Amino acid sequence: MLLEVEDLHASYGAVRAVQGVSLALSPGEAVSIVGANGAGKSTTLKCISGLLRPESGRIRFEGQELNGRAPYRIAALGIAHVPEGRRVFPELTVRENLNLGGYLPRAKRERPATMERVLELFPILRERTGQQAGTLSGGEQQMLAIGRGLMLLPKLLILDEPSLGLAPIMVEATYKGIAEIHRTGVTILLVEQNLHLALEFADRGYVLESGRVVLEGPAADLLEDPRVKASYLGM
Amino acid sequence: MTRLDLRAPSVYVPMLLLVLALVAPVAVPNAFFRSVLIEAAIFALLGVGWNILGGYAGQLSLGHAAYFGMGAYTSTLLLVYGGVATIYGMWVGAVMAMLLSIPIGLASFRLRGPYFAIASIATAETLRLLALKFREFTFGALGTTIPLTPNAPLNFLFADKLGLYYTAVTLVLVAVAATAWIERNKLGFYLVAVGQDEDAAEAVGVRSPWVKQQANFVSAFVSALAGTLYVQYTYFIQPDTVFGLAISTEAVLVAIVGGVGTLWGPVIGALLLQPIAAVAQAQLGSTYAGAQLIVYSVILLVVILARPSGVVGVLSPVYWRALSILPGAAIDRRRRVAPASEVSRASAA
Repeated sequence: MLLEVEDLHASYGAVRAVQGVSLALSPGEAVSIVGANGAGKSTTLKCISGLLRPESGRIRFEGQELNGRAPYRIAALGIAHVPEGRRVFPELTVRENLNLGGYLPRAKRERPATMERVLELFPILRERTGQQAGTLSGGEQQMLAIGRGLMLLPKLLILDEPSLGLAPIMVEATYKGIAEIHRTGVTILLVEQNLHLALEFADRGYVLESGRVVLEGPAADLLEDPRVKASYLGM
Repeated sequence: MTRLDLRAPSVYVPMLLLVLALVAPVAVPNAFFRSVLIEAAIFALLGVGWNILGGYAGQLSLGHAAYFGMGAYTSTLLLVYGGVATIYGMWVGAVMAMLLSIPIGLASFRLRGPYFAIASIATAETLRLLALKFREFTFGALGTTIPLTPNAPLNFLFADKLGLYYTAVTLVLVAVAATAWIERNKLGFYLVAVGQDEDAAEAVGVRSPWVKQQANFVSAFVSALAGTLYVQYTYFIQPDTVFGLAISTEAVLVAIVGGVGTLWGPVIGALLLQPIAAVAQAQLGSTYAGAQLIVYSVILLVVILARPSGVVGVLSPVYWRALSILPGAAIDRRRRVAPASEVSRASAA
């Protein structure tokens, strides 16, 4: 297993966001976590990348315990988290944003080559390298955020709602890029509210409801399963 | 680095400005004018120091008096007790401020936004109270004067204060150069990233507590130098003046008015604010006590409301426009010196 999460609990103050989530990813897989708003999807991701300290549970990456490690240490192991809402650095240029992802020792030497790969993956960014990231369109910012994560040369790429608020044509371009990244052997953990998008892309899926995994299985099966839609609509 | 071509406006204009700064106090031998220039240089230095942590790294510190006062007290006490010349004591003070920045950083960097600002006020206040409390050592609320020796350059005591001005200008230039270096290197990008979105920065592997502490080190060092200069300028030290909230506020104001997170912002802010403060104080302070503060506040409000990016946001395009029409502009165009990103960054900030 590349990533194992066991019985994860996490909360924001008194709000219990995740109550016993377990999941596992094999190397090279593409896995989606789906569920309604507030089901605990993003919280689970934040615990994995260290942005939020879990209350209990175990997170292991390539056999190493991640609990309580600082985010930069987790990133150094090869986990890149592309947070929800893109979160590029608006006043830095596209090139500077990308470079920021590539300063870690694991990625530093390859930085120019990785940058070239990212620009090939998302050609629209190439025309914008000197432009401030804040002036990009939503879709371009999403591509930049993904590219910035890729600069780490991650083994695991965590994507939180990459389609959120994007025009359909941009969603398509973004997912094309993600699929391309997956083809090069990067394991992908994806959170989406857009059920079809997520499950059509992924090999396997987990359905979260109120901080718990209520269903899991091959993505194709989940797409057919009436319980998925039910859980989605909170029925 | 391309060879400096004196015919290019991007070279000769800054040089002319520098010459202007150096010649101004000599050309106008007026004591009031000179003291305004010196104050502007000292607070420019403080502002440049603050800007590294408060501007680039986005940590709104309201407690830089802690570092300012640390520098001021260290060099002064070394001079008073040990007879250590200020030119050496100044660096000791700066290093002491760096050491001081470690516990301050450890205690406050886990806090974000307004909580960090409040904690930073507390650190300066704590030091002010300590300086008041240990009066056998620090001379307490009464303060102490600098031992006056006529013309002792090593203590920055000069017959006509011109020497102090040149010392301050030199330090400002060095501090700006250091900032420029940081801005162009990994640390600078990390600082801006942490300042703009700490979580996103950490997610790409930025070790934000350490990045902030590095900024804190430089910031403390530079601010402490300003503190030493300030005491050598006023010949007097007491906890309220060097550890007081007024100093912390001044550091923030020159940077905000000039342009937060820009290279020259704090310098321009100080050049603008200090004369206004001095004139308002001289014209109004004696007749209507406190009126100068009202004038000052109104100007601040206007700047902050009309130009949140600071005066640099207005001046920078004007500056580059001017360079592009001066004789020799063709050389600059060929070399593409105008940093398009810098212009747009300043106006978009």
